[in-house]
This record gives sequence, C-alpha cells and structure tokens, in this order.
Amino acid sequence: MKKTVLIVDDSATLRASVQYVLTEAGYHVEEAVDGQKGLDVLEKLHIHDVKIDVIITDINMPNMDGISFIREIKKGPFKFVPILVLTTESEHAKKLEGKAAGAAGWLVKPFKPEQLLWVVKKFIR
Amino acid sequence: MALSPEKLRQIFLEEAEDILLSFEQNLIELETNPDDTDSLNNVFRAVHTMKGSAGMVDFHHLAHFLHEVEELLVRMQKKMVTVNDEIISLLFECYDIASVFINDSDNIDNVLAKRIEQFSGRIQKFQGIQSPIKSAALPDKEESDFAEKYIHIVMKFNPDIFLTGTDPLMLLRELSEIGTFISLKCDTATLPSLDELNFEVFYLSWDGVFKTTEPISAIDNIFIFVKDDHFIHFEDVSSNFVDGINIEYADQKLGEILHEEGLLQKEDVEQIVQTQKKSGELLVEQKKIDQKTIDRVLKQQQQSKQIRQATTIRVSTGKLDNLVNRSGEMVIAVSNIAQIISEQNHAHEFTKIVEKLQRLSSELQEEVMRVRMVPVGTTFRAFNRLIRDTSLALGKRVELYVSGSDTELDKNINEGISAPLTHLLRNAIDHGIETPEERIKQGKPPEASLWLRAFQKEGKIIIEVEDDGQGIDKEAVVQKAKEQGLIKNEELSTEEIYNLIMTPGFSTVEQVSEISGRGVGMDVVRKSIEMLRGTIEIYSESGVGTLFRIKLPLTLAVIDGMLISVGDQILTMPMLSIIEAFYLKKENLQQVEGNRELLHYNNNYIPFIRLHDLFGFPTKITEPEDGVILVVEGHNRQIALMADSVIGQQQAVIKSFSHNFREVKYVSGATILGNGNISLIIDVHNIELESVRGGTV
Repeated sequence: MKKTVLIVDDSATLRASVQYVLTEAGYHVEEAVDGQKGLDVLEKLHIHDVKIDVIITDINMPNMDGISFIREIKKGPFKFVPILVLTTESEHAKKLEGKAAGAAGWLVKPFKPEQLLWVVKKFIR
Repeated sequence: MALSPEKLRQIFLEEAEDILLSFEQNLIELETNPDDTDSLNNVFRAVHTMKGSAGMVDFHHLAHFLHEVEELLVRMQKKMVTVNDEIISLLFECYDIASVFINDSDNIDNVLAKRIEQFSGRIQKFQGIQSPIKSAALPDKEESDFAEKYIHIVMKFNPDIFLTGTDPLMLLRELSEIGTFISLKCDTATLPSLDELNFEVFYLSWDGVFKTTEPISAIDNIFIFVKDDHFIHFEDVSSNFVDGINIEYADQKLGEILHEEGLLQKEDVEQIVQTQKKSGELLVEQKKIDQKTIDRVLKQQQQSKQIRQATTIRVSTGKLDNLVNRSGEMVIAVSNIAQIISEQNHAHEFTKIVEKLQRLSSELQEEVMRVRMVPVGTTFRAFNRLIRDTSLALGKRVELYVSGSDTELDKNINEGISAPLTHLLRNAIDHGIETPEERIKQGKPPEASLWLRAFQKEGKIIIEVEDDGQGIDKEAVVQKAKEQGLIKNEELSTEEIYNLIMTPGFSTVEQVSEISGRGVGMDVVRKSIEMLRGTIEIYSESGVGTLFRIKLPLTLAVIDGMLISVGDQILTMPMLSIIEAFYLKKENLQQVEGNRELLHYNNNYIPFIRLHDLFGFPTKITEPEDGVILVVEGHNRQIALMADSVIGQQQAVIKSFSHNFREVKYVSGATILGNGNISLIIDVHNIELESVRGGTV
C-alpha cells in the first residue's frame, strides 16, 4: 500500500516538485494550496478512512497559514500524523513557531530531492 | 508519467507571472498609500513565494536576488526602513528585473546575474548587515573516517511527543541502521499499569552506549528534529572503550548492571513496538472502503492532475485579448449578414447556414472569453484571513460564509475586484457589525455573520457582501451629508440616501479608523467597480443588516451597447449606463442661467444635454420633442442626453484609442460596426463631469 503524503503550499512550483519527487519514489501525494484547503483534503481523506502518513506544509500562506493549519490538525483525527514545515533559511523563528504548534520536523527551501526523501522517510512508519 | 525539470520550470514561470502581477499591483498600492501594511505584506508574500519557487527550479541567481529583496521588505515590515519614494522606485526596479527574468528565462540567467549583482549593493544599502543565504537544507555529511566509535546516548522524551507526530521508535530504528547499542537501559519508571495506559502519552526514556562507524554528525542528523525540545544527549566516549569493552566498568558496578538491564529492557521496548503496531492495525481494520477502491480512485485523480499539468500552455494575455476582440467582431459581422439575409428573402438553405454560422460564432466568442476567466474563489480565498484579522483587531466576532467561489470572472475583473471587496468587507466589520456585547443586548447571536456570494445572473456576474449588523442609519447619513454640504434640504429617496455614502468626500465616522483607513471611502469602491464597468447597489435595514450588490460584466472587452444616431454619426451608449429612453414632452424642460437646460424627471431636475451640441455634429433634429431622450446614470447623478434616434442594440468590441488620441472628450473608445463604419462609444462619466463644471446641478 502506497504511503500518502499531503503537501500544502501556495506555490505551484513547490507542490509540483514535491509531487514529482515523492511520486517517483513510490508515494501517493495529495496537494492543497493553503491551510484551509489542506483541512478540506484531510477531511475528505478522513471520511474515506484513508490514512495519511506525512503532512508537509508551508508556513507563509494566504487564507490559512501553516501555523494555524497545524493547530487545526492537532484538534482532529490526524493529530498524530507527523507534520513537516517548509521554511527558508531566514525564517528560524517560523521554524520554532511551527514546532511549538506541533510540527515534527522541518525542511529548508530550496531543498534537493534527496533531502526531501530523507526527511519524509524519517517519519514514515 | 514523470515531470521533467523543463515542465517544472514551466509551472514556475506560469506561477511567477501571477505573482509578479500581485507584486506590481501591491507596489502601486503601496506607492499611493505608504502606510498600507497589507500592500507591503502582499509584496513580501509575492517575493517570498517566488524566491522559494525559484530555488526549487534551480534559478539560483533569481532566488538569491529575491532573497535580498525579501530582506529589505522584512526591514520595511519591521519599520526599520521607511517607505519613501526611493524605496518604492528601488522595489519597482526589483520588479522589473524579476519580470525581465521571467519573460526571457531561457537566455538570461547569466546575463542578468551581472545586473543583479550590481543591484544588490543598492539594496544592501538599506539592509544594515548583509545576511548570507545558505542553500543547504540539512547539514551535509562530513567525511567519515570509518573508525569505530562509542557514543553515549541519553534520550528522554517529553510525554507528549506522539502529538508532535514523532515516534521515538523511528529514531531507534534509524539508529539501528547505522550501528548497534552495546548497552541500552530503558527507564520504565513512569509506565503505568496496562489499564491506566494512555496511548497518547509516551512514558519511556533510554540511556545507552552506541557503537558506530559513522561520524557523530550522523547521530545529530537522526535527532535533528527532536534535540531542541527533548532531552537528547550524545557524546563520543570512545576513549572509555578498549576493544569494545568499557574500561570504566572496572570500577563501576552500575555499568555492568546497566548493560544487563539493557538487554532485559529491550523486551519491554519490543512490547511497546507491539502496542504501536496494534494501534496501526486497528486503523487499518476500521477501513470501510476496501483499499483497492481507494487506490483506484486516487490513481484516477492523480492521472487527471498530470494530464491537466501537461496540457496547460502559457499564452500572453495580449494574444488572448486579440482573440476576444476578433471573435467579438466576427459575431457582429455574422449578425450583420444574418440581418441582410432576413431583409432580402434569400433561399431557405442559405438562411439556415447563416443561422448556424451565427450560433457557432457566438459559441466561439463565449469559449474564447472563457479562456480569460478564472474562478472568483482565487480572490475570495484571501478574505478569510482578512476577516479574522480585522474582527480580531476590532474585538468583534464574525463568521464568514462564502458561496459561489467557482463562479468565473474575467481575469482582469477578478484582479480589480479584490480591492473594493476588501474595503466592503472591512467596512462591514468596522461600521456594520456591532460588538458582541451590543449584539447580545439586541438579542442577536454574539457572533455576526458575513456573507460573500458570487453567482451569474442574466449575463452578469453578481457579487454580494451582506452582514447582519446594525444597518445604515439613514438619518445620520442625511445629517452628515448636510453638514458636509453635499446636499441641501431636499427630500431624498432611500436609494439616493444610500448613494450619498458613495459620494466623494462623504464619511460618517468621525474618527479615522485604522481598519477602514484614511481617505479611501466608499466613493473609491464605487469608482473601482465602475472602472470594471460594474455597478454597486446598497440595500439596508436598520438593525437587520446591509447588503452590497455588485454587478459586473462577464468581460471587459465587449460591452452591450445601444446604437444611437446623432446627425450622420452613429454613437454607442453602454447599456449599463442607460436607465430609460423615451420621447420628451417639451413642458418638462426648463431653461436655466448660462444657456443650460434641466429636465424634470422623477420629481427631480437633471442636466439636459443635446449630444449634437456636445459633439458638434450637424443634424436636422434640433427640437427635443423630435429626438429621443436617454436618461443615463453617472457617478453621482443622472443626466439626460438627447439623440436623434435609437437604432438598436448591439454588442460592441471596445477599441481603445492610442495615446495620440487621449484628449478626445466624452468618448471612451470606439467600436467597428457591421458595415465597417466606426462608432464612438460615449463616456457618460465624462459628460457628467462637464455638466458639473458647467454649473448645472
């Protein structure tokens, strides 16, 4: 059974590259453009009882940002799913904020395919 | 189906164009309103997103450059750099550089590198200290010396570690991939009895000696996400070991016990492993749909996503505009043929073909227009945040209900509608919606409702902003308008009173609120909607709420026009502006000073303007009762225009005048008629302005 990863980022480029790298590596990837849409995807998956293995989310997004998104996840049925936050080198504070909200790890943009795979594998049970 | 790096870049370039647009628009906004933190934040977001994306597709020069710009913007956000003309110009130049890059990314990376380099110095001037950009996401592995090492590792995890999505077992497994524990003690002191065991709480901690040939940084990598928040300690204790034996055991009884305990406790660890697995299995058992079905559906969805990605191409909006124009002209030409044929009684077969052509060309026109359409949801999405922030700042509780997000709007209209909607929503929260206390007093739920709806109706896009707040106080509006000299003592209809709100210079709120801003009022909202050839209506009931209804055309390139004749000219009047067309009774006309005329219309006197005089077109029809009167709606008032006759209704493809003609008065553009002649499109607002300047009110 394929492991499922949800990528939430307002950048189409970033979503596409995550989609590409992880699909190539045999994962199933769901996408959402912001936190709100991310919650919608999770809700849909929950209704269909689909397990999600890792959630990767950007911090700085319109509508619902990554921090609020993480907080919302922690209230719901997916609270134990490892969440990785995407930050840039200059956003150390955001990284900490993400951790405080309950993120399991982080990935610094831009990243190389092997870095993405390394960090995702770290959290796939 | 794999996504090649080229395709990824393609996605990036498409995305970057949108981002650049937002960059530019918000920059323009920021220039006119330097205190507008929203614009600044939007500029920041644009740059930030593009930077991240550029890095992903290996446009490193661009990423580096945008990083510099971002640093500058951060300093602006923190008010360490003041927004002034110099900064704005600098940011515009940044925008230009990024645009040049995006529009010719194939050739330019290296050429642009030089320009970017020179430019960076100017940005850094505002930055104080220069901050280096690091591209590595994770620490790179250092050279391994493959020497056997003994690492003392202590892991004490917080009880809530599961809630962070981390499973300590995973860390142990990772460790086991690079070495072995020669001793491991598991502390189970806090582990409760089985019936008290809480699956969400983590109870264990470990202390052990780990043997590995990997460098110590490899262990650091394993604990990278947990070492800051949990007690993780590891140190190289190789000096204590000789041939794999801990020489300190000699005088440490405890060490041996540790070792022994470690072996024993490993079973406990395995017990936990078992427990974990069971909870995982439980989740699998609960599945109501079988896995095959899910996989199949997910696969289909993925395939469709890939197909969609593969079938988008980038087309300049200029080309699209041309397509829209051409197809519009074709529709008009075809309808002309149809008319000629119907008049000349041609063979039935021919008529049928022309009818078919007519239908096809309208369909084509619609399809072409649809290419430019984007769902309004892209604009709506941003409002959730706005509502949250605004209501929070004002201490109000508001729930936003959005409907019709998938309603499609012309790209330009969609972009243009964002600012006025932002203003309306803010206004609703600031002025319309009461505080929770006030609402409870009035027997309303403390949480106010705000509706944002979009739908298509009768060939127009309707966008509504409705709140269940206190409504508009008509008396206060009238009172204020009198104070501000906007009206005298005339009786006004409800509609007219509401329209006062959108009159330039009108503001009911004494204090300039930080939320609704300074200077920008409802008149600006109306103006920006009219720029999009739309209209806005207000409905309000005291104590119940207010509804703003915005009507927008489907496209900006084509308007519904009324063809009117003045002398030997045929003019086009936008249908949206027309309230009524009728024949006049002379007694309704009054002469006033300065040779101006007023028309008595609906208990009001409105300016009466003869188009043949205004444009200077000679005509035989000079008596008002011989011509046709069109009452049209301007920004602030209605005016009556006199034409010779009404010819009919026709869609008009708008051709703007080139810059050489920008002084043409009373005309907003031209359109080509079916017979190839040119018809000028009347600019109602311009005529309205003239009527004010002339002193007629």
